Parts: sequence; structure tokens; C-alpha cells
Amino acid sequence: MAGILAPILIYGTLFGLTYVLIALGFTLLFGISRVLNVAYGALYMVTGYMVYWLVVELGFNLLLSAVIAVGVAILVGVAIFLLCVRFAPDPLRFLIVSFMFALLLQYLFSYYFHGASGFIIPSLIPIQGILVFGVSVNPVYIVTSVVALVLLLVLWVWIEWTEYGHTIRATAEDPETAALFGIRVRRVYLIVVVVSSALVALAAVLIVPATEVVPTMWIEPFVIAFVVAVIGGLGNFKWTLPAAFLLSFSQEIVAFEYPTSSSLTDIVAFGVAICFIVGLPRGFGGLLRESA
Amino acid sequence: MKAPDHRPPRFDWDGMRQRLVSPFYLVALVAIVVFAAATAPWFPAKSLPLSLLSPWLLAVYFPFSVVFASVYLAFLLGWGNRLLSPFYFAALIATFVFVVLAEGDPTSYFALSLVFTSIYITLALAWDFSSGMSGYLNFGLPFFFGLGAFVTGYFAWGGQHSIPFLLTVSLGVGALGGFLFSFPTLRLRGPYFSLLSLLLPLIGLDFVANFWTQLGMPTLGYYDLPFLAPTPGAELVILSVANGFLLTVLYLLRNSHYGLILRGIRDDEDALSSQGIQTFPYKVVAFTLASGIAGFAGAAYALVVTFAGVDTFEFTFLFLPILIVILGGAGEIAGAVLAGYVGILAYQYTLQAFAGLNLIVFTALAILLVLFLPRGILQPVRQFVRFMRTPEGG
Repeated sequence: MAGILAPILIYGTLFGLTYVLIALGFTLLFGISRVLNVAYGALYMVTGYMVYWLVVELGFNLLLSAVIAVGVAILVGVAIFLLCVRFAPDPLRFLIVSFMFALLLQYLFSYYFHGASGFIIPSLIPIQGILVFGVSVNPVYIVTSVVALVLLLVLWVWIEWTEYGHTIRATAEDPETAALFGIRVRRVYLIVVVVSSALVALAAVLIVPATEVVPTMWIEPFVIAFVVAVIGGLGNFKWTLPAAFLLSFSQEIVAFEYPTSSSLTDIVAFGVAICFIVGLPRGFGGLLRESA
Repeated sequence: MKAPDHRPPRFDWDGMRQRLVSPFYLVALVAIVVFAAATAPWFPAKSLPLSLLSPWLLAVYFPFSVVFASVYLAFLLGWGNRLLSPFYFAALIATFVFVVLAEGDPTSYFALSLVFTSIYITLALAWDFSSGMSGYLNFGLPFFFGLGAFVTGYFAWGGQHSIPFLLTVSLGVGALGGFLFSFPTLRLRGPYFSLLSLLLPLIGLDFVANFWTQLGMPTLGYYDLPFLAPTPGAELVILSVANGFLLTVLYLLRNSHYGLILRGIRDDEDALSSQGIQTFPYKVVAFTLASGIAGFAGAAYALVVTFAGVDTFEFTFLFLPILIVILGGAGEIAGAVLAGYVGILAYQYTLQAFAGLNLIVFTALAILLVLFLPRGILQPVRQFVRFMRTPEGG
């Protein structure tokens, strides 16, 4: 028992914090603008491919390419968001257009690289496993976890304690009334989209070196972000951390129960999401009456 | 001041119905039925001058005369005002005409691409009936498509080679799966339901890609399945008759009380609820039916390519149906069929010339369509017709 407790605890914590970094932008964007952006996952893919293209094919410096890739991801995210908000403002059409943008980007990358996949990109962090309490852990996930914790704190302080945070929350509460009080609602949305895209692009720069670059890589971060958002209560920013931990620990427990089946994770995520939707449709956020 | 009503007077349906039951039309009906019986496979056609017609025309004529006779009977039963829409007739006739065109060379690439077109049209009909009408976007369509294909593979490997049995059991399992999925999740409104249903094909893809070999299966799917029919031309006849039947049933449902409520859900679900209408059962029935149809389409696809593999969960089977539904106008059942013949045939023919690139072009086209023409390609046509009809010009 003690033998598997340590890996479950360590992997659960590290993956939970990684999920926080992946899901943070999605939850933030949904909480403020009330649109579900499927293209969010595609930005992760854009960053991965940009880093690969710049570093491996063009031979750029890794740090510079990472910065450029994050910039490109922000530009793509803003462009998709503005196009959708301008021409398809209702949530359903936004959803379908952003989904098609994700597919379009997938097909574009697949075509440009002639269907080849499984590229490895270099990492800013050494990826040799190190031992933590007798468990071999990839340092990528440790660094990502620390970054996720710091960013979660920064965002929390920004949204809850600063002047501009009040503005953002007012916009989320009621955009029309906020506009009446002189808040520039479009600018608030724009800033939130930039922050959200930057978060997922940063997550990609940190995590993708531990995995590989394939045309369908947008799916996994999107699934994680969506399920974490459902567990936390859609758009409920404060519950991202417990929701991510619930998801990662249930995945780790199942993974250790059935070690041969390597990829039960998506099915576990789906099951958890269904359970929450049936039993607790507002997620963790619905447990507190004030936030309901 | 109330504006004067310049709309043309409504059509005289009762008079039309009376004319339809006049002796002349009854004789025409009897002729259709007799001709249908004479062209039936079990009828000794050699004894009749009908045998002068080529055998493929007879093979096509029999099922279609059955469909046309059913439509005619529907008129007599008083559903005429629902079925006499130009779009419905155009869609039905297009289905017939494309079969006749393909039967000239039943093994050609044209016939084969029409077979795939028919499968996409079946999927589009399913999607249009559930999502186009109710506004609950069901991204889980490829999952039920793949489910139908794998169920077919499972039973075919179990020794069942009867094609009607395989198609029926896939339809049933698809409907069951659709019910089990939609019952808990249709409590969610709009976008949340759509996103959750988007997870379904991902799960299917993941499951088959990672678990299949662990279940003791040699490859990623079932191979060496029986053929749906000996030639693509014969497959096309089966699928087109199924599409004609589906089109008729769904079109009648669309214009019934049931369809009215489904379309009401898209417009304003809260208003319906405040009228005391429980919308939940309507949605569940629509999604169960649509999933069953998707399962049927999956079985047909598996039997056409004789392989039920992981590719049936691909998003191509989602966005091409969505593209033609939006092209034909969401919620218009007949529009999906008409747009399907244009869109999917174009897709099939650009597939070889520009492999990969045509997928990009079609996705971009779909995005432009949703952004700028969300009510379909017929929307500007309708606006123009309305403009020309009103005396003061709009």
C-alpha cells in the first residue's frame, strides 16, 4: 500500500498542478466572456508546432523561438476570438466556429508537414528523470507545477484584489451595466483573451517537450480544460485547483489499479465529467450558495 | 395604422386533395403499383414487354416506385401540404436521378463516390433532425457512427452474414447508445451539452487506438466484412432507397406537432417550458433516433469498405455532415440532401487531385458559411423571392 501511495501522491499533485496551468486560461475566458472556446486547445498545438518549426527546421535559439511561439499563439487566439465575436456572437455559433478553427489548424499543420508526426521539440528544462522520495519524476512537471502555482496566485490576486480585477469581474457579472458605468467591455475581453492565450501557450512551451508534436495534440489539453472547468463549476475560477486535483488523483488511482492499460485517462475524465453533470451540475462552485 | 396584407392567397389544399382522389389520379396510382409489382424481383419479367428495358432500370424502378407510391398515399391521407414542398420533391427526385445516372456504369468511380455521398447524406439527415432542428449541437455523431461500424464487425465475425440483420442491429445499438448518453446529459443547456458530446468520439478514438490490441484483436478493427451488395451501383440503390425513406419520415416529423416543438426548442426553450411543455422527452427521442440513424450509416460504411476501423471515429464524419446541413439550411431536412449531392460529390472528386488540401479548403468553407451565411445558401434566394413578391419591393 505504502509502495503505491507515494507515486499516486506525487504524480497526482504534479499532474494536478499541470492541469491547473492548462485549464486556467479556459476557465478565465469562459468566466468572463461566457463563450466556450474549442480553439483554446488549438493554441497549444500552434505553440508546439511553432517551436518545432523555428528551432528544428530554421535553427533559431530555443528561448527566442519560445517567445515568438507564444506571441504567435496569442495573435492566433485573438484573431479567432475577434472573428467569432464579431460574426458569430451567440455561444452555439461561437462553439461551432471555434471547433472548426481547431480542425482547420489541425489539417493545416498535417498538410504542411506532409502528414508526418511525432516530432520531438527541445526543452528549456532538462528532461532526465530525477528521484523524488524514491519516485522517478520528469523535472518538466515539477517546473510546470511551480509555474502553475505562481500564476494561479498572481491571477487570483489580480482578479480579486486589484482595481482592474474589479473591472473584469464587473464585466463578467453584467457586460451591459458595466458598459453603462464607463467600462470598456471590448478592451476587457481583449485583455482576458490575451492572458488566456498566453497561459495555454506557456503551458505548451513547458509541457510539450515531455510529449511529442502531433496534429491531434489540441484534443488533450482541451479535454482537460473542459473537464476541470465542469468539475469546478463552469467559469468558476476559484475552484480550478481542487477540480484539477480531483481529476488528476482519480486518473492516477485508476492508472495504478490497471497499470497495463496506459491510456484510461480520457475515459476517466469523461466519467468524472458525466458524474458531475448528473450529480452536481454546477460543480464545486454550486456547493456554496453565494456563488450559485 | 395596420399595413395592408399583400401576400398571395394561401393554396387550396382541400381542393387539391379532392382532385387527387379523382378517377384519373386513381388510375395513375394503380398504374404505378402495377408497374412496381411487375418490376419486382420476384415477378417473371421476361413474359412482359417490360423486359425490353435494361435490367438496371428495372432494379432501380422497383424500390423507387414503392417510395413514390407511399408519397402518393401520404397525399391521400391528407399530409399533402407537408410533402408538396418544392424542396422535398427536389430532394427525392435528386436521389432518384443520381441513382439512374450511376446505373449506366454501376462499377465506376462516379457510382462509388455516390455511395459515400449517400452515407454522408444519411449522417447529415440524422444531424439535421436532432441538432439542426433543436439547436442542441450534437458533436457525438462520429461516436455512434463508429459504434454502428464496430457492432457490424462484431456480429459479422460472430458468423452473422445477413446484411439486413447487421444493419438493423447497428441501428438498434446506436439508438440504445444515444439514449444512454442523452438521458443524463440533455439536462445541460446548449453549449455545455455540445462540448460534452464532443468528448464522445475522442473517447471512442482513444479506446480503440489504445485498448483494441489488449482485447486480443489482431489489428485496429474488424476486416474482411461481407459486402453490402455486389456492385457499387447496387449498394447505391439500397442506400438511396433508405435515404428516400428517411427523408420522407423525417420531413413528415419535421412538419408535425413533434417537429414544431423541436424547432421551438431552438428558438426559445424557456418560452416552451413556460407553456407547460416538458422539452426533455422531445430532445431525448430526437437524439435517440439520430444516434440510431448514425449507427445505421456506420454499418453501411463498414459494409461498403468491408472494414470497421478506428477511422470511423474521425471528425471528417462530423464536419462534412455539418457543412452540408448548414449549406442546405439548418432544420430544413430536404436542404441537407440537396446540398449533400453538391458538397460531398465535390469533396469526393477533389479528394484525389488535392489530397489533404481539399480538407483544408472545405473546413475554411464551412467556417465562412457559419460566419456569414448561417441560415444556408438558400437564405439569399428566399430573400430575393420575398423581395420580388412584395409589390412595394421589400
